[in-house]
Amino acid sequence: MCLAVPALVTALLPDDRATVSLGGVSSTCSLELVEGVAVGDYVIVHVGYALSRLDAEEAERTLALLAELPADAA
Amino acid sequence: MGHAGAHGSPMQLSGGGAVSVRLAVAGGRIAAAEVAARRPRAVAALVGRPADEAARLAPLLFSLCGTAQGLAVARACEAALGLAPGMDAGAHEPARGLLTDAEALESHGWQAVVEWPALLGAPPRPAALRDLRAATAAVAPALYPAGDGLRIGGGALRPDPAALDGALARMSDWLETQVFGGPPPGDADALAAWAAGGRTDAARLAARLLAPDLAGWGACGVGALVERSAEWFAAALGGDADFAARPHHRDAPALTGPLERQAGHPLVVSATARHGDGLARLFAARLADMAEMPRRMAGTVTALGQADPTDRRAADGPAQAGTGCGVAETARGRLAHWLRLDGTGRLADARMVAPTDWNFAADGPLARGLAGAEVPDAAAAVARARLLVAMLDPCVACEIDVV
Repeated sequence: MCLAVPALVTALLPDDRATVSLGGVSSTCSLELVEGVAVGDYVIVHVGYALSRLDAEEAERTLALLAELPADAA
Repeated sequence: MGHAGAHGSPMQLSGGGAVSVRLAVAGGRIAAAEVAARRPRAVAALVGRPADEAARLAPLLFSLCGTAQGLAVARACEAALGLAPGMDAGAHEPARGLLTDAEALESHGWQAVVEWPALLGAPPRPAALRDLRAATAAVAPALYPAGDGLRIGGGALRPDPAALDGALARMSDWLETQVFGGPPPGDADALAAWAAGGRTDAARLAARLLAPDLAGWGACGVGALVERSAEWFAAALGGDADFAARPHHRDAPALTGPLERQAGHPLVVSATARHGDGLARLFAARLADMAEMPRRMAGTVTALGQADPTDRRAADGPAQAGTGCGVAETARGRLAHWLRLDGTGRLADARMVAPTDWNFAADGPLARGLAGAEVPDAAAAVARARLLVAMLDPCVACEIDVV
């Protein structure tokens, strides 16, 4: 049910946090649960925490998949 | 991992559906409770794809239960392709159970160190999850070293008992340190003593939920789903494209998740006898589910053997149209996928019903637990509803309003 939408890391912030972009909407999240995240990486964010890091190919595949969803789906 | 309260940022909402709870408070009670779940129809993205690709993509779509999603789709495809009889299910099924148990335990762990402290107004401790995540992440490679555990027809199963035992020991240690602060309570007396000790966030939340005005609060009287067979879910989902919008079992709503799984556990039986069917019982079931997980997994490890991927040459002949259903267990309860393959082996239709569909249905356990419940005032109604939502644990954000 909770869709795994890859968010692009756009900036690293102090205190193990980052700015991420999700469909053009900018937000911040905690990086406490993932290691070695760099700007340009994709992460799956849940309630303010990055849960996992995706490689670019995986992220693009997921984003393409989500883009195909009907408009009322998410 | 659902979050009750004001967590409706665009990021979280775009990451899936949301549950909205609207309460009307009058005469010292919740006079009306309206529960509405906005569900992402993510399975629509699988339609039109070949079975193998659908099974590979399903885990990527869901952030919290990707393994269970992938396995449910793989099982549905195996049923539709007629592979199931040829599979060495005796070998793959225990291994698959370990994969979903590990995922469920990680999810429970998140509750214990992130969500439960937040309910108490204490700082969440996500860093404490690292050790648990390392242990649960070690399970899949110790079973399917080639990384093909979610493959249709089963992967190359080569269990590494030493690595699995090590991972299970780390999980048990983690629970003892981070959740229970010692051995888990075994009955209502032990639960009360453990809560009074208040050594962990979980124990401090127990102390709050065992308060006389809360322990029996939120009784819903909704029966457990119980049903596990793919045949039952196939009939339900296959016969009604909108089944997940109003899931029902024998014409009634049903509850799935830890309480359903652990209703017979001594702690839950004892807590139910003392506190009735409310918050304390639901919390006791969550504790029991967590405590039992490494023990059950250890039992499963002894049943493991090697197995090879199913020879699909027969199935790789002319593709046949067919339907299939697959069921998998998640922390929140039972998940089922139903799909129809067309004559070319692509998905022509895909449907699913997830635990949040059951527990947060318009007339489901949350709605029935809230309706008529005693509350001193509107603020208490929101606070108590938030506790009940957390005990039922939606996989999407949840907003609670008093109208």
